[in-house]
Amino acid sequence: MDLLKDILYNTDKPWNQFYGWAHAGWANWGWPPFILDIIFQLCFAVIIAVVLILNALWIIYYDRKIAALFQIRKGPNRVGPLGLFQTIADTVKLLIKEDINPKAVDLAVFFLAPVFIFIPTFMVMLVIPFGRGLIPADLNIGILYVMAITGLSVIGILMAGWGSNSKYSLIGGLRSAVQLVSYEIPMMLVILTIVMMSGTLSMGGIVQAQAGYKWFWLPQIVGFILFLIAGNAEVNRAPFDLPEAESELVAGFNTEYSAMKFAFFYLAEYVNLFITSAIAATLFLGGWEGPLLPPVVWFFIKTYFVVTLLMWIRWTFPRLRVDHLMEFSWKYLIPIALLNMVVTAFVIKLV
Amino acid sequence: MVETLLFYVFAAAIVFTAVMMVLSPNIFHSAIYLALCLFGVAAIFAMLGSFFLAGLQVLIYIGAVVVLTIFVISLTRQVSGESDAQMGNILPAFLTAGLSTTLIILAVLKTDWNTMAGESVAALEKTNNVTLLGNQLISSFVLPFEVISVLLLAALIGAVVIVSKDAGENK
Repeated sequence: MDLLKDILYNTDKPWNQFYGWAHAGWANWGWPPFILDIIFQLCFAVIIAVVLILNALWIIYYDRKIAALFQIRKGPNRVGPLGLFQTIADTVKLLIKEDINPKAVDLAVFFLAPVFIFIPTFMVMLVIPFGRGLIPADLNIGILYVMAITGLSVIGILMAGWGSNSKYSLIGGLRSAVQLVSYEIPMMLVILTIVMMSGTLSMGGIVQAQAGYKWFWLPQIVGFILFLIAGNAEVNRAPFDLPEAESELVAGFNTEYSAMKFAFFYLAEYVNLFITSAIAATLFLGGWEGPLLPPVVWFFIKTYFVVTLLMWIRWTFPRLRVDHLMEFSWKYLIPIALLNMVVTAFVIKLV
Repeated sequence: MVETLLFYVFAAAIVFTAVMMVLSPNIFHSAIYLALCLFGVAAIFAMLGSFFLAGLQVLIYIGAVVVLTIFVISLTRQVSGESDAQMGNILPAFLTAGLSTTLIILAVLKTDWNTMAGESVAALEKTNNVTLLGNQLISSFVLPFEVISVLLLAALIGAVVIVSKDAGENK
């Protein structure tokens, strides 16, 4: 019973015991210890990958149900109870469809683009604190690592746009890159403000800085709103879904993609939504901190709260025009973020 | 042992991608190779325990420089599918590359390296070298730091001025 409680609430303690025990056993075999570490890390990677994919499938279903709620219709309700197996059926369909490579594409670039987009989303999971001691690696540059790695997916999008050799893809890819680069700036300024308040870059450290329910969303309410807007733009969703504006660009940078490669883009979009929400929950809502329930449960409650907020925005607002989109970031978000940062710096020094 | 092995893997990857960047006839491929090459350098930084530099390397060089490069390439006329070998200025290119390589090799050989054993690298990873770096920047290296700030600000204002002049002519 105690063990179960420890596993749920204090994961690092039983884990450290198990880790020590495993290493002691391993030493008896006489093999170098780093092989055991590599085995453990591979296990973590597989667990994270499985959780990531299942979670993405669930978020797609959830998004469709929320959309149905907003549009007063039923949403998926045929496959399985309450339509729960709909996304699984969709994914299987995408995986077994014929994989079409158009003749004019640059094959290597075309093929690698989904990989370049999907791998960073997977790598970011390395520093997300899911619970007390449940963080794959608490790097001391945590949040900087997140920004650096998420920046890589821009290259994937540009590769998809350019490699497809199609005007819709190219314009979609360029728009997406412009948007991602522009909205990264206010996002980084907000993150910098949070780093100033917590005095650390590590994700675990930021959660600890908010211990005792001093969550950052209240003193940083401006920052929180800016982060949600910029985060929504970073995941390319309405009202910022210009890159794949279907009324003008067919489907944006993934126009030429089909079957499994398209599935990667689709999954990556929803994984990115989850990651942005998870980071928002960590930076502003105290991470896994909360009463009674285990930390992991709290982490997912808060993350899904942010996910729901973003979906609410998505299904409520119309799409922006491309020049308005740029103006909004450069003329409003960035100055407000800068002002927010300067004011916070003064308050930290004076109070 | 593992670290040495990893170092050689990364070093080989860096050299390979760098050579491919120069040799590739397709300029878009060159840009992708450049991104991979810079990522390899970031991996070397991380192996040396300097995660902050590794993060900045990826954030600035790949996230900004390479992205802008690719952006410019995408905007140029009909690059897609075209294979243009850049062999026009081979002599100046060789001279510049040879001269700078010689300089770097000389500098590496002349420097008295403060080498560290494996344990101290592990210890360095534990210390918060971000704080150390920040303190150094605003104490010992405050002058270069400020000069760079002014330079970047000038570049920023310059960009705005150039763009606004164009916008005025269009209207």
